[in-house]
Amino acid sequence: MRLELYEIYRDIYIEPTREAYELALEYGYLPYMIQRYIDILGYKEALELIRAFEKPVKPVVRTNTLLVTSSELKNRLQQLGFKLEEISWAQGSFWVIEKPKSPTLGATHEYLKGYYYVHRDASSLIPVLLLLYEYSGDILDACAAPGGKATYAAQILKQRGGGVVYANDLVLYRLRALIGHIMRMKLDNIVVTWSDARILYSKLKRKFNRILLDSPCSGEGRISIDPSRKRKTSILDLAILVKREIELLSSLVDLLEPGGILAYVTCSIAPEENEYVVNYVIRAKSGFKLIEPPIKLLNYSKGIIEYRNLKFSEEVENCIRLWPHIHRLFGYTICLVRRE
Amino acid sequence: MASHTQVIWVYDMPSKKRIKLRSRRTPLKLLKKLKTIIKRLYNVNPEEYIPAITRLTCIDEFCIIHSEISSTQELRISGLRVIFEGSWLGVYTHGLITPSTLLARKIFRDQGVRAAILVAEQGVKAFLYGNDILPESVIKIYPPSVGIYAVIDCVDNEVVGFTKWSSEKGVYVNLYDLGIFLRILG
Repeated sequence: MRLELYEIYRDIYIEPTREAYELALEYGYLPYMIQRYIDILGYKEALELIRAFEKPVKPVVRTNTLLVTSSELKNRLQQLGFKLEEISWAQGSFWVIEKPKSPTLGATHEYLKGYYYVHRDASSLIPVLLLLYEYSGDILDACAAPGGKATYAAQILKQRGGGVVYANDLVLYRLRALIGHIMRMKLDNIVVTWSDARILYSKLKRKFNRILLDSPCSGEGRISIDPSRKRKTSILDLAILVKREIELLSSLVDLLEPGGILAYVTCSIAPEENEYVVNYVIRAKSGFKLIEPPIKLLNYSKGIIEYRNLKFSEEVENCIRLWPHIHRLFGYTICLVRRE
Repeated sequence: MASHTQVIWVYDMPSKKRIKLRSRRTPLKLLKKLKTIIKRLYNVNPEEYIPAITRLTCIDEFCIIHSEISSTQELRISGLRVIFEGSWLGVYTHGLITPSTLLARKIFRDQGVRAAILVAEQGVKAFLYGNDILPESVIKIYPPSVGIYAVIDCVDNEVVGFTKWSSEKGVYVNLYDLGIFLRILG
């Protein structure tokens, strides 16, 4: 079963209403995006979401606990003028509350020595913690660059005594940055490969118990740091992205061992890029199930099972959503797919 | 088959430059040279620290010698481009081979500090931005003095790069420092 671009376009097409046009004009969005927010959340909450996107998010410092303790790192960064607040659900990670004018987070000695990684936001820590919950062994990170999740996974696995991270990406100059992070952080359990993730199943002669697919997406959840995303993705562009997301997920689930779990992740709140994609793949392929997260790190919102004229499988509700106006994080969606 | 060189040219959008990436088994001559340097600097058996099979990954003229993870042989045979793996062992650039800070760190932990200079905070700061080290920034010199020195930060005793004494310039010339990952790899 193969979904054609025009079918996706037809499924996801939205005709915005007048109130969506007005709000879009006021905040600089494409009207279909606003219409979508209103359809999912209602007008009042959609406005809260749009306003939350106008606020900055707090960057996160994640300690490389293989080299330094989190308390030591905190002391050293505080001496430099940074104000940090520990993230209760991610041990060794801190929200950066205040920054000095100099040095920047990416220019301290501690950074160059590999003592920490800087995440733009805490949301990217969540899929790694969920996927590696009580797990030790190899993992495939299919779209890994620039490497925030791959280096986090490598660090966790190393502390648990074993496991190699196979970090793949299609964009070479981004992989170059990943190699820089691996060397800076002195990690020795990462294999970096350069390939289109859609053809990995034909190249890899093995399967994995854990796969992370942080799919290239519209980045609609990151509007707070990149306002250009308000107007970047037309409905046709979105349909093209959705098609690629389906192809990626569809090919990568074939690399799962029986009982293995794949985390499908996007920094997007668009149901087209998330629930629509996983719903299509689990229906098209037999033997896969969407499962609940193994641990409640925070009060996640549930996946959407009905949106406009689209109805998804009940199990899509097991996906988790992070909303900027509720969770004060990037807009983010994570779905855990298990092979039966 | 697995030792063949993969040469990739790619146009780097942010810098608007072409990147040349090469990956291959480390040539034996180069590996022998690294082992000789390790032996000369640290008086250890290099075989204990450097595996028999290693790889050389070059990004433009900056080359990294690193260990090979056994499972990647299979990946290469199936045509997958493996561009980095394992533990960082050394740097090869402009015809000069230098041990990695990671390797020096490991040897110092096992055998004690040798062939190194302990440097004051301000000196380290300048060094990490690519500058040379002035003799007045050096707090202590660990023998033997064989030309190349690991640079140790006096704040936390971390190895932050390598230098070479230049009597001509009267400074410890920066061979590479940990800031190079940001400057070269982005």
